[in-house]
Amino acid sequence: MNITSEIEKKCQEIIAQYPKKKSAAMIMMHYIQEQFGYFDDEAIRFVARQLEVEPIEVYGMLTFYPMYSDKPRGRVHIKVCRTLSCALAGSVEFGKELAEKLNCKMGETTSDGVYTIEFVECLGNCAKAANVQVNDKLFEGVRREDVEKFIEKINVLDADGSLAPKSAFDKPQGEGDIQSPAYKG
Amino acid sequence: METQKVKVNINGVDYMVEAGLNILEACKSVGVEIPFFCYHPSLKVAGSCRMCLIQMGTPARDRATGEPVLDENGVQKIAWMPKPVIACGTNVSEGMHIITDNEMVKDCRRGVLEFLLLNHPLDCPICDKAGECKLQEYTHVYGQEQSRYVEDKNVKRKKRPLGSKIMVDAERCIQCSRCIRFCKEYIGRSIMGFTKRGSKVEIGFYDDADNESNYLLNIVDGCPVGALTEKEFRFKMRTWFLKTSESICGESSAGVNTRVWSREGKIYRITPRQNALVNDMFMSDTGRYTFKKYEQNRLEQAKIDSTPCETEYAILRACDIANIGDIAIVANAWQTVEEMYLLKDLSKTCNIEVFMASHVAEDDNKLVSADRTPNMRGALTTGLVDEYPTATVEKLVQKVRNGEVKTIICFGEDLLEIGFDAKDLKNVNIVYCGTVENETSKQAKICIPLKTEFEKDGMWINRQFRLQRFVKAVDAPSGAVSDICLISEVLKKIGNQNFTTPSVNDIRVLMSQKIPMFAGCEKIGSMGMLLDGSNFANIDFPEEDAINFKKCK
Amino acid sequence: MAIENRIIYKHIDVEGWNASLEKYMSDGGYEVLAETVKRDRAELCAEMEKSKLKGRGGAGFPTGMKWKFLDRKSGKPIYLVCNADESEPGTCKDRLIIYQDPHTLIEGIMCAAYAVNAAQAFIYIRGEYINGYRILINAIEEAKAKGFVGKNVCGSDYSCEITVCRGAGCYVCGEETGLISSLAGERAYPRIKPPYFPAVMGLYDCPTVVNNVETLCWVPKVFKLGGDAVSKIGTPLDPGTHIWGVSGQVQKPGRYEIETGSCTLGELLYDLCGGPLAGRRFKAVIPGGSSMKILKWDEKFIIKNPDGSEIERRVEDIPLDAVSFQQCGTAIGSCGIIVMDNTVDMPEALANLSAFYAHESCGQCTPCREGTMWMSRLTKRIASGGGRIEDVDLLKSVADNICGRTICALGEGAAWPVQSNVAKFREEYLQKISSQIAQGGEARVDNNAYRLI
Repeated sequence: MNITSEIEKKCQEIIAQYPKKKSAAMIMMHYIQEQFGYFDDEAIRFVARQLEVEPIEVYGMLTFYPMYSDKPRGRVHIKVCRTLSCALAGSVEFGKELAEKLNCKMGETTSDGVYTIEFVECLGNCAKAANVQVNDKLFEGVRREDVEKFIEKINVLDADGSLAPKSAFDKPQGEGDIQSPAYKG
Repeated sequence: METQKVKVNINGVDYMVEAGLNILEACKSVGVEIPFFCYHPSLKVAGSCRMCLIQMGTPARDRATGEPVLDENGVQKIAWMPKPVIACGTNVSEGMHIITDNEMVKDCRRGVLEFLLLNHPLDCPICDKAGECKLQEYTHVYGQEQSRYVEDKNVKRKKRPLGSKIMVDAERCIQCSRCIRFCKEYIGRSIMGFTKRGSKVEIGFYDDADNESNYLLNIVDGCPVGALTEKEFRFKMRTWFLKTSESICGESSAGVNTRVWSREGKIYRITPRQNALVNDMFMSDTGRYTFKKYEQNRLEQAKIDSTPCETEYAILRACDIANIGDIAIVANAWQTVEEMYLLKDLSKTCNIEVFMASHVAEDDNKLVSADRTPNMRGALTTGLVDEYPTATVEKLVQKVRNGEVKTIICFGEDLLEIGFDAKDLKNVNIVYCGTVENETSKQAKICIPLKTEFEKDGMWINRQFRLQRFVKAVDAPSGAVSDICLISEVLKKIGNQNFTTPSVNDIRVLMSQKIPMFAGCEKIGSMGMLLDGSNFANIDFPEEDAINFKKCK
Repeated sequence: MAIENRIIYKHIDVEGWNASLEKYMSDGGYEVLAETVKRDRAELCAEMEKSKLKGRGGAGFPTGMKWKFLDRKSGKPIYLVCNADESEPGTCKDRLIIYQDPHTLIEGIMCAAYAVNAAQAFIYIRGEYINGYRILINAIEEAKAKGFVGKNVCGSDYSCEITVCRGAGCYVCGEETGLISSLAGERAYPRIKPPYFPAVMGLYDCPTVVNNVETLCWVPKVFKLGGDAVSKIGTPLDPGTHIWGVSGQVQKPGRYEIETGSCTLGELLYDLCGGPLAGRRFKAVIPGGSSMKILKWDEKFIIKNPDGSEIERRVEDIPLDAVSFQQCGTAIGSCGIIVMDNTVDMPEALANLSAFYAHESCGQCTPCREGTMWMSRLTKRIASGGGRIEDVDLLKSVADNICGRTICALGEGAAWPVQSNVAKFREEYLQKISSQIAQGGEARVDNNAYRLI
């Protein structure tokens, strides 16, 4: 991992927003995850140094919050909401079928590094269930019968580059990150 | 200072308890036991094990007016909390009502224990903590006979080293966080932490390499279950076979209160003993192994010119040499207060000068103080020395070189380490009295084996001027004599005195009568007795500030 | 007849509206803030108390009281934290405010921050709202450029920055002390109370107010209209509006802002949400986010009126306010309604929720850590065919052993669905288990049911 002076500068900027250094942990870890995709030993130690905490504290956070990862994830990271509202809209069966079609085990990454698929808990958009998040984009109103259309759609978006994750530190992406419904347009 | 008391009602009985205590300590102070796992008197309250749930209520007051609410008999009603509260995290207040034995509280305890055992491997027969495991103990007292859990248990990592001294079994861990809090609060670095989430939570270091501390083994003592075990002691002996004796750690002048665990004359381990005024419930890792220094190179047999002989004969011969005159004594600060008192008597009666050397090293500002002897203040208070000794006994070296001293009775010290060179030792008769062999003993004319601090009773005075008592844990090898016995014999022989060899207690009684500052010393309890050290305020002691200790300025 | 009264959602989904400051200013934006910073703080707090508004995050604690409990004498800085974690399943009301109308929230935060004299304000937004984070950052920058946030707010001598922190997928960050731990850069462990009441020992052990997004959006309304006027909106014991997020099996799931007490649950579900899906019947409703006790559609309650008379109330007749739901043994929580119809297999639905709580338990205290895991495994076994008759009582007993014995409310949140499910759908559980046993462990009650686990 190449920790550039730019990254270090950004980390210092994040720290400056908080009364205590340690408070910057959440955002800094998001930032580092964005930069490198996951945390290795070097990244953990880097964050610990920046925050002036012990590496185990960073590692403890890393393993506590599911959005941080200590393993690289696929280029197309699919999170299928499995909590009740979405499950009532068929998300669990959708997810299982999707995983099967993508030939990717639930919770794992395909060997070519393209897809990671996992069930996640509530994505906070229950009224528009079922919800599937792909990288930083949310697909709402997903129907379980549309697995194939969904795959088609994300492959198109992946191919033209519009699925590539945008930084959370960028300007807002217009009205939203919502692609609705998934299989249209 | 008088402590403030408040009236609380525990299980229907009124008690006066110290204000400011939490419910758990308050109940303990009047003999009511509340079980707990995560609470630790020397650490911050975590309140996470939920074992100490009890029912609590306070005198009812009207919300709007603040007026007491009375029942039909004119007695103030009790406003019971709707949920059980944790005894460790709630402080007592005037008029508080506490129930620790009703069905609801019992049900809470049963529930918590059942939960804790869900993922527990129940491997007590092969667990080294068995016999001193809180989970095992409480399950017997408060638990239920059978588990209702039929699902799979979590599988976690077992038998994993945690640093170089500890083994961790994640399946046995109940996530009480004592070890984590100890590292954070006492060692001062959050080197331990939780990883993962929910029932998958595990404890651990990030990396074993840079996490060594001289206090880590305290987390093994603190662990209420078999998750953390000490590599050194692991599988050596079942704890219920061991006898414990109250002792004091001889590692430094911190005077850490300890417990010595032994069986059939063999010491297996040393653990800290609680003393809130000295070491709380902790001790250094190195202090735990002080007994090991006697396991090798032990001087077990009296010798004259390197030839083994009876101890009595060696003492007789030593007195003969001493009678020639020109003698000096080299004492050491591992000797007990009683021994020093007797030694002072010998020195006065026979006009023998006593020399001592200091043993100073780095202070860790915790429980290993700069003075690496346990009783230098004993030497000062008994008058054995007038000022804090230096690392070498230069004056004695000069006297030997000038031929003024021809015989040295050396207690334990290695003369080569305190200022003498090898040539000097050839020009002087050495009577070496000690517990282990060293360079001096090898060149001594006479060697007399002595008892170690684990083999005798005695008192030491720590850096706070606290007089503390330790008792014999194991028997000495047959040839070894106590310092008191040896000094008494010498006093009889060369001081031409006639008396019965005193017991340790005889000397304590004598000191109590004769030296005002030691008044009552024969009766001190397990907390020790703080002496008035103001006479020594002008001495620049080497110890630095630490927990429970402020350096006199 | 149910009609919406959009006070907080005034701008949501309005044609031509966007999240820009320009739009917000065009509708009187930040005018209340400019007035507020000239007013007396004690008076503002008194207005909040008079409004009798309850917090909208789920616990329903009166906001004015929360502010009143703040330790103002400690000499330590006071912090204001906006809880935008919105992690309760079924709840999705704050999302639209953040995405479409962030300045309403920011004005609310600044008004509240001024009123409690906060040294700094924080927004803790859930990690999944990535664009929401961008929108908030952008909106704060806009507001800062105009002097509404930051140094000398609206020309006054009051200064306050807003810092936005992102979560990373953790339900318990919605619990205020868990949120505070997370914001302090730790694992989101809820703290024991006492001593860690946020009003006294919150963020960095300083006095802290934690308010929900919707609650904070109410603050400018209260300051503008006055506490008395706001307390007259809706029912007296739970004034204002609630934004109901309806999800699950209805024709038109969505968010509906409704004056408290102005309509019933049935009216909401039939008039606004279009009733059940074609050919289905309602079976059960979770009224306030997944943690609240479930209502069986055909159950009835006997309600005691203040005058002592009793009336019978069906589920569909429950008026939409906090007190009415309390009378029926449940709570409105965060107003996230999850509707289930006759195709739903209740043991499966419960297994789905129990898995959620087991995943989200922080693992700090024993009953929750072990109990949620146990309930999850138990319900999963029942749902997937391996149930035993005694499991039904066991399940309830496990839930009882969690309830009221944990550090934070996640324990209750996990136990209530189980307790209420087992109590109200006991027959269905027993029937499912019996037929499973009869058929060798592979039975499903209704073949149309979705697989929820």
